[in-house]
Amino acid sequence: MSVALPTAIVVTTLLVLIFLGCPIFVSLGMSGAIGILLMRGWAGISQAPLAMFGQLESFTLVAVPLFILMGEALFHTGIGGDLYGALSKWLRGLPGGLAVASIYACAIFGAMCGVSIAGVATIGVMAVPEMRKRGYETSFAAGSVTAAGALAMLIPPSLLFILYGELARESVGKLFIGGIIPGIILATMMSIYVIVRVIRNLSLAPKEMGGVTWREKFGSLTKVWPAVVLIALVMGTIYTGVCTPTESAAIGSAGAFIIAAVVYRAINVKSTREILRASLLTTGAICAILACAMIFSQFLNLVRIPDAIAAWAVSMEIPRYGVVIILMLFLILLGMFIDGASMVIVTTPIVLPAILALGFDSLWYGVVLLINLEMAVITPPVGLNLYTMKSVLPELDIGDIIRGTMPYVAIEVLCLLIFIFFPKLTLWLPSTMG
Amino acid sequence: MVSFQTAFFVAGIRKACSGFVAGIHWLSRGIHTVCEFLLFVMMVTVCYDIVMRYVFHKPTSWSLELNEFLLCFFFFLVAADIFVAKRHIKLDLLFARMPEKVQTYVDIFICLCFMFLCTILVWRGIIMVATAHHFSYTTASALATPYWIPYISIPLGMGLLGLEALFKMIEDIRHAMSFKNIKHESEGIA
Repeated sequence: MSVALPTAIVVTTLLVLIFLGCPIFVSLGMSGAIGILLMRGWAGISQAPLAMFGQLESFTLVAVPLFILMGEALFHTGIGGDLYGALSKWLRGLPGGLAVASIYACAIFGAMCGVSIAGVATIGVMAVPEMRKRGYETSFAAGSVTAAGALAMLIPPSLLFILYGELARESVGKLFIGGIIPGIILATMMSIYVIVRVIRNLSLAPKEMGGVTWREKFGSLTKVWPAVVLIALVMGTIYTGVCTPTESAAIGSAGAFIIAAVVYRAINVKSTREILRASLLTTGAICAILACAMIFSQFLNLVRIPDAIAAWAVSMEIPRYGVVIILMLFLILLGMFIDGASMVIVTTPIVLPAILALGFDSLWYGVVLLINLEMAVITPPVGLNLYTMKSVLPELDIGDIIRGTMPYVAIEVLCLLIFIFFPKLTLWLPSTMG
Repeated sequence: MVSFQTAFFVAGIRKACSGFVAGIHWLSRGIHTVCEFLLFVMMVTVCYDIVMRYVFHKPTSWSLELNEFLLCFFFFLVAADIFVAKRHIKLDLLFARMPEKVQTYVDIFICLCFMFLCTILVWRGIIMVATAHHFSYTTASALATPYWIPYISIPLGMGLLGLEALFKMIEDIRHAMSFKNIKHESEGIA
């Protein structure tokens, strides 16, 4: 049987199901199963459950629920608010200091939590009303938090790096370390944008009156430092090679429970159950996509789609960076509709062979992919962070949120181009790992 | 007399059906609660393994295998409760803009997709469990865990998910029929 017709049927089924609102995992499983049935009949589908089981039976993936657990435990403490409070005291003197503080608070909270919407919800609910009270323009205030919330996906420990590492057979530890420099650079670029815009237009963020004493500044760190030390410990053990990412995740989640119990006194039976339930729901939803993507991948391999795309990429008579730019544009477009985890799981098996065939590094591509996905959560129509901001602060106009966030898309495109054309920026730190 | 017996019989069937539905919901939630505990166990056992490995130089032989299987449980066994909680990741951009009536029909179609996928996985899952049990397949580790034990999560979890999808579909069909009744009533009034 020709592969063109089954491929067309499978791709159409997948897109129709996704756009009808069918859960991504069912869309993948259903379309993949139909494709396999068309190509190989019922005998072909017999290995589907085994393939799904094999996909999940991985010690690296055990890091997923453990990092989610760590994030949920820290999220439950309300540490995001303390973090923003501390940073706003330290950075208040800068032009647009509160917006800069919210960007770094989102970056650090992202390292603790790993979920972009958690940063937007936690920091946003405090920072945006505070900024508006002090005369910041609404869209400017909302945009800084909405965009910076996405840093959680890039700054390690990031769930998406674990998923990518598993699918690409790339070291998750190296991916984590590879995400540090892009994360810092992106957060810094966002802060520079805020400062430059405020210097040029003071009405966006009036200058703060009255200083903050050193005593207040250091006092604000009291509750925050244990969690920051925990993150440093988690990343340090991975960087030095003492622990695998999964072991570090276990240390991190246990440490998060200890911080929640000792520093915040926020742990009891009820809250523990809430944390475990929330973690399990997120884990199950991600694992479902990962498992069913295996059925879809089986079909893709059956009809040799990844090979065909790799051959197409190599045969194109344009420079290899041109091919990467085309792929990145395609991913940006796709990211406007599909969430980050699904994007990584669905596109990696298809795009990575082409990237490797062009002579690029899979570690580099993983980092570049995640920088690209930063845009997915802040671009309409399906920018999760935009709607999270709207849901936690209903008084804000969605138009204001989108308008305030759009300049950060341009910053992220610039950052993406930097890391595409200077791969050493990504690869240097992982090359120094123990 | 016959009509009384029929009514009694129908009432009995209805009661049995609602009991069955409540039982399946209870089972889904119960398994989720067990998995919550297992998530905590996962954290503790990996930490325990780290301590044994680095402090006592005696790594466990079971932690790695146990936690790999637990992760599989977290998808297969929890899927039904995630479905009930409507926490599966999806794109509802178009769906949210559809009229309520169309949403109900789309929901019925989506439930059918769930059931199709679950039927395949339950059917093949049962064969996997039976084969692993029959040929005494075990893991290659020192524990030599029989494979049918983790494999059983596939038909069990996907069976529960399929049943939850079936219940949701029946609810949606009832809802869709209420649209028709409203239409007939309004026509009657007119």
